[in-house]
Amino acid sequence: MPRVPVMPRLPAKGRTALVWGARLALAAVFLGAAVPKLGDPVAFARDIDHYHLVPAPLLGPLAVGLPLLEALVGVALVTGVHAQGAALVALVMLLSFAGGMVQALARGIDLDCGCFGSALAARVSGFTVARNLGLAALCLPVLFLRPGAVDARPEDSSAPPGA
Amino acid sequence: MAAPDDAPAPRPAATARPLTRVLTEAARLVVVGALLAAASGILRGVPTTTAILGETPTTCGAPLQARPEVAWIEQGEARPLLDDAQVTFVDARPRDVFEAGHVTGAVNVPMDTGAIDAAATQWMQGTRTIITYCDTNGDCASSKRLAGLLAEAGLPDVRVLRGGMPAWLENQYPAEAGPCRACP
Repeated sequence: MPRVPVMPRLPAKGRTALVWGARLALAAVFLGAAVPKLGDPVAFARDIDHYHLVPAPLLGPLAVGLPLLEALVGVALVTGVHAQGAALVALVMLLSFAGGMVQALARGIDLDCGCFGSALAARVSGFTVARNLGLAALCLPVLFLRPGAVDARPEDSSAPPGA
Repeated sequence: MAAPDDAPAPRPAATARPLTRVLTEAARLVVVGALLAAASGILRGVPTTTAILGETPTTCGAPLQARPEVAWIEQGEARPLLDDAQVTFVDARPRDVFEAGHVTGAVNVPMDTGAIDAAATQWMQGTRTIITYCDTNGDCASSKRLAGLLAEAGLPDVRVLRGGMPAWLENQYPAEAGPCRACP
């Protein structure tokens, strides 16, 4: 059976567009999320506290560090410097946030997600979890596709050369 | 000396270990982020636990920063208002939770969708004071949002019950189960 993955079958232009689109969308989300949190770390620390997951002494450092990492990921995705590493960090962050939301829902915690600081209040729900998972899926093309690269592999790599 | 024909071709450096490269990039970003956070902490300071939790000694969390006209109301202050016909208790929890037990005489305006319909606000227009509540295992997001929407709709005195339904039951204040009798 030929081993031809679905993604590399995309034409080079399509791959480039997909990777660029995903990078820019993720960058917009991460930069948009970072800015309000950087402006009000105390409010963001409270948002984190409402998840009942993080010990109190870690709230402050996390409230300062997370938005900076989000901003760094956003910049890396826009500039293309370490874009794949940024996509991996983004993927881990988004899945962790989704996990935090799921545990909050499971424990009946009624809270705002704090995803965009105080800029865009949204109550944690199935929708916010799905949104995070959708964004996590956007990281995959950036991680696994090489924009514009020509797929030189034969269609059936098990076939003998020259066959 | 020429390499034998059957010797494996060397792999291009750029694609030799893509996983290692991506992991290295990610690690660099995390380290730079940590350094930036440390620098920011030194220059701007890190929020202290007191500053973060200072205003949240009970189960209800942060005040309504966006709506200063919406105030908290304490349990002991709210209890006597239950007998006042001009005061309405509004439960922001889902219908099934409301029916399992709620403040006596409360109406249910579930915040499932994050919005309220015009009929609910119109029904409450004649009320002097509205007290919203929910389950407060968190930051009272539903009752705060409901209070904000009601204040936005022009209702003059909207408060959020600190401690919500769990504290109300703990205090053994009047509660009842069943469907909403006076819902709009």
